[in-house]
Amino acid sequence: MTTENIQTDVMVDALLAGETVLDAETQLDPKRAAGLLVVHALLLRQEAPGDALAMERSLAGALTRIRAEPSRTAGRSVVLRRVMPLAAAILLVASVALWWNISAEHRAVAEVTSTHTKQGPRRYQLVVQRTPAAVPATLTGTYDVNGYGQFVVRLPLPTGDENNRVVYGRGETDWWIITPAGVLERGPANDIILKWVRAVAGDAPLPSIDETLSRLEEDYDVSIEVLPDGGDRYHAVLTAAIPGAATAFELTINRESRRVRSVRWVWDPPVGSIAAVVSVAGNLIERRPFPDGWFEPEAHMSASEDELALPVSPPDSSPALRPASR
Amino acid sequence: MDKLGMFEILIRQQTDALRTFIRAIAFDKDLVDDVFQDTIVAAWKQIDAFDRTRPIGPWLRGIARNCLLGASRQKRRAIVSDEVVTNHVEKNMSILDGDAGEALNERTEAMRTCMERLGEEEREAVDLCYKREMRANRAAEVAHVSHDAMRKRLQRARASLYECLQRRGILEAGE
Repeated sequence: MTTENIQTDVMVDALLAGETVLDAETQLDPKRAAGLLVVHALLLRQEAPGDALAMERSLAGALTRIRAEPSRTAGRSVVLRRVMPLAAAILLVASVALWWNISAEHRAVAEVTSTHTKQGPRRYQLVVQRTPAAVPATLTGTYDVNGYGQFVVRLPLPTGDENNRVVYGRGETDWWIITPAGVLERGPANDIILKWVRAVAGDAPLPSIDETLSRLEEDYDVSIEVLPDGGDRYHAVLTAAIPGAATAFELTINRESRRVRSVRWVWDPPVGSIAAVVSVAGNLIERRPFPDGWFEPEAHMSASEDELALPVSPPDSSPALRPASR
Repeated sequence: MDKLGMFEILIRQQTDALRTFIRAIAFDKDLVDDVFQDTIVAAWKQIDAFDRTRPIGPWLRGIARNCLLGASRQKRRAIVSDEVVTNHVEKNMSILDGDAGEALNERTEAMRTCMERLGEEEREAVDLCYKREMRANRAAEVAHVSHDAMRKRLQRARASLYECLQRRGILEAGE
């Protein structure tokens, strides 16, 4: 290949990758081109905050595929790794329970970094079901997500007071949180979320996504159900004795788009001594472009409840949990 | 410990270098993830054929190259297709890997030193585009410079780092 072709190659790829990468350098010889490519890869490795997490997630996905190999569904290649890019969405939903009920044993995750880039803007309804004794027994929030790493979560407090919510998310660059007192905190990393969760939860642990994925593989029996409508449903049942851990989860995705349709975590017995969460579910209810700046905190400091209103009848309600087939 | 457990330990020692290699050749994040996983799964299937007297890094990267080519053909996603360039990437990775088993982390400590020697503008460009993961046009806005100026700063930053690492023997020497 000629030098000109190398330049074209690099330039095209740079465009595909969204411009943060290599430009077409002038007079590149192959050795220099290779050196610059390696420098670029090293910069991503060393500087990008989510890279270590992404690598761990990929590794966990590969190991899951290897372990799943002997138990593949007949005649169909089960691609467990598809779960992994979606894990953020699942774990975010699971994190809902953290806001009120964190115990040292409850190893859910509040750190959320990204969802798949191709899934586009969408809104999930979050439903936290508590024991009948809790008032209110059901709490509803929203999870808005857009492409890579941008999301906003709005949750009512355990009292169910709609005017007293916690809102947190990640915009183009920063993590941020609007506390129930209406105070905005923001920062370049997840420290701010960590700080706030810890403030609520005392010394509760906040494991990373990869830790949780590893935990899932170790402690849950995961099986896959192929749906006739082009979906895949993943069932996981806790097989280890871990106090406070979710006893089951169910995830339904579109096979081709990888879009999460629904996810549900169940605790049996309920987790937490005060709010007693029975399940946390997320259901895709809308796909829509969000207003400019939606994933920045300023949009939520003044947003009215009307702007955030949910459809009366969600088109994709949470499916009932069924026993997992091994 | 079972065989898979041992394999995992082995692979964990190589993940950093393997992913760096793949990312140097495939820019698409999704493709990097796919190929990284495919490589590990393929390595597991072929592990019995691995010559234990040889270093595992080049073996894994050889598998990764095949996976890259396969994924590129199958999914029509672009990679650096010039074999001469990819051979040089492999040479660089062998140096980074270290023949004596020195960890990539240790070898790339030099990167930090080289980073410190960047000019203020170049450091800012790296910070915005890599650390804060902004696109060049957004970074340009933040830095109050033109898009072209931001791209030039990135180019200069990478070139400076390349030359600095080369001088330190971390990357393949020039002619």
